[in-house]
Amino acid sequence: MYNIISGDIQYNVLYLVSGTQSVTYNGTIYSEGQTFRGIAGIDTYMPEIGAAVVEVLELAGGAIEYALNQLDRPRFSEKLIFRGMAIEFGINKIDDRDYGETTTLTGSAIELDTVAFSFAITETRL
Amino acid sequence: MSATYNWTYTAGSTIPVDLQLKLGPLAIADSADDVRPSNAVYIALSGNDLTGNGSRIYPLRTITEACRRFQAYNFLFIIGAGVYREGEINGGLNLLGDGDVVIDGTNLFGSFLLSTDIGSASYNVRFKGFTYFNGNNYSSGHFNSQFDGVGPGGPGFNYNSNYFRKNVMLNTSFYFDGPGAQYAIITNLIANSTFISSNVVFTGNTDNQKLGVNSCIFYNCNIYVASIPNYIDYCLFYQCNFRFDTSISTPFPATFYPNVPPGYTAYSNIADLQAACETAYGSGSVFANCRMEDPLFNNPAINDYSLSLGSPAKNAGYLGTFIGARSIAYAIKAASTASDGNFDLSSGVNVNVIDNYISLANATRNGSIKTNVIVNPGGGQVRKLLIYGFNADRQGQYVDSIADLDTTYKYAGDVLNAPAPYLVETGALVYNNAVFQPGDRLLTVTGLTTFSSVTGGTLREIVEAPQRHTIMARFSSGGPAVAAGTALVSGYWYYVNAGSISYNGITYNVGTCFKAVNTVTFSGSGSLIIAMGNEAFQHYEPGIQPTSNNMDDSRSGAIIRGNGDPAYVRGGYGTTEFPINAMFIQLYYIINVNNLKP
Repeated sequence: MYNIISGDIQYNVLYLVSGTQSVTYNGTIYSEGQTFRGIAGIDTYMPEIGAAVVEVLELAGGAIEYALNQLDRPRFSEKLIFRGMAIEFGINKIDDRDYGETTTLTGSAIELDTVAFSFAITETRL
Repeated sequence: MSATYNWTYTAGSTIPVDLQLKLGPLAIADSADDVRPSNAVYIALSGNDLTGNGSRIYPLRTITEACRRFQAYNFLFIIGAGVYREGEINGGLNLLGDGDVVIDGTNLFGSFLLSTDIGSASYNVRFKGFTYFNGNNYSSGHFNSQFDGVGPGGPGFNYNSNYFRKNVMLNTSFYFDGPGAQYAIITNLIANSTFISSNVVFTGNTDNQKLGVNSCIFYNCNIYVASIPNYIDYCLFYQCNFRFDTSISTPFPATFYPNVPPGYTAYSNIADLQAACETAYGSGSVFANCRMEDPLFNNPAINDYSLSLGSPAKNAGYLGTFIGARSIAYAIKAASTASDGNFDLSSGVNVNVIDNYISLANATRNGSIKTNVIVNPGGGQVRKLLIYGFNADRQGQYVDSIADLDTTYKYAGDVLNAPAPYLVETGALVYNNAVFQPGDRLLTVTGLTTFSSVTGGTLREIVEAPQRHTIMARFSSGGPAVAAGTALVSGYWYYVNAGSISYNGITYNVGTCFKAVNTVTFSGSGSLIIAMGNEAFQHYEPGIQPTSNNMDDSRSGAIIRGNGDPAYVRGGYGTTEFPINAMFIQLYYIINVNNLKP
């Protein structure tokens, strides 16, 4: 808890009137034990003699953030969909071969909802 | 000798990988703990600008003093957790946050000049309230940092080889300036960052220089393209206004979408945006692989910009992972109705819980509350334990510091070390004509080495880590199956691993956890395992990856202590320190009113 002087009120921070008198903030009188929240652009309050304002500790929430890269080896149980495969022939002057028909290049994809793994798959395919 | 902080970066430590991108593979020079390393300066809230020498045991107190004593750009400033309320900080600074570090220039006419023709870098630092922020000139790099209410006074980032990665920009106005014409082969890379309600200006990208943006989220921003970057790839835009012209007039409007400032246009899809870019600059392909979608942040109301599990930014970045600065995360929400949030309201001590806020019922006493047991079914590796709050030492995060205390109690009349920090325990006492209550801390002064008792007060010296920010947590991979008809253990948490069961008149389906409040048995066709029994809570550092010392130095061994514990043994990732993949997680928040002042 920190005593806050007039001029140091910050936006969205919760304050408690802790002295024996009241304070006026943004046109409203707050008595001992009452709280008010800082408003953008209004950083001053008017204290009565004996009044004090302290900042109140407050926890808004939290989060558990998960790793999502190769180094951290994610192991989320997500769907792996294998959609097909293809053999891609090298066609150039040296390896020229006559298959007697038009070569069809078929598409293939491995869809994995953790692309870090698909890097490795892509490397293997190439 | 009283140590001041349980430093992560000590003699021989290499700096984070991201920061190496800017500073090279730098390691902290070897030195005794009371001697400043030749290439670094330690700064901590517990330091002293008069008696400190910049070593781990005798850190300096302020960045300003460190700048005054040392030519900043030749040193790495390693900063301990806490709020540094300093304005007018000038110099080519290389800043490494060792914990939750906030540099707050609010109401201090904050001006932050990171570099003047000299390279500078920051890592894991939150810059707040600097009306003038200049990160320009030559080689700069900012990584894993946050800019909150910064600008628009500074010219932003320009000239050569600037890197801007994994940062959050909040209510901030910046230029991203392509390099000047006199330089060649220059790269300004902006990647994996999240921009919230910010004004962003791209400018000065001339003479075939390089200014590139990839894998960033722009959320409710005004984006002024005064010079077209070489590429803007794999970015996600949501409720943004765009402007394409070279005039750079009134670049920082005060309003955001749905208001559309003069000269700006809100496009509804990427094709329209690309068409406008094509018309203005003949560069319609710049916004390749970009999307206009809500990134589905977990809880923007409390500044939680981590991604929900269903976010379109997940696995969509250029590097295959996420777009933006924050990974996917499980949100922990405060709600007055238990079922709407993630807290175990019955565990609350001296707290009031309303939606998105937990505050102290009695503001002069500590408070605490535990979360429900959170299921991490795939064993996803925990990257960070994040804490959000608008108060709490004014840095937007709450603090639960733990002190490593000397084992010897000092009683009235015993001789104390001086100067040294002490914690008051047992009862009240008088020292230096002041009365201290249990839980208070005092710093002895030379010449006053005894105290007198009021109600049996004792002292113990704070010997280590008086200010480390921690969060308590416990982890489990699950216990044995619970046979039907077996009495449950009150206080244990159980997980339904198949079917559904009924307990105390409530039906729980597969995949859910619940806390036993009595020894009644469960019924139904489903099955249970123990999710969390009497595992101990350990201290972990918020904001960085939680790691632990494990039994037998094994990844799967039982956890001995967390990385927020003063006795934590640092020795190497995967060697003596292990990441956490536990299936069940419970966090324990302690709001400590007696933490040291900023």
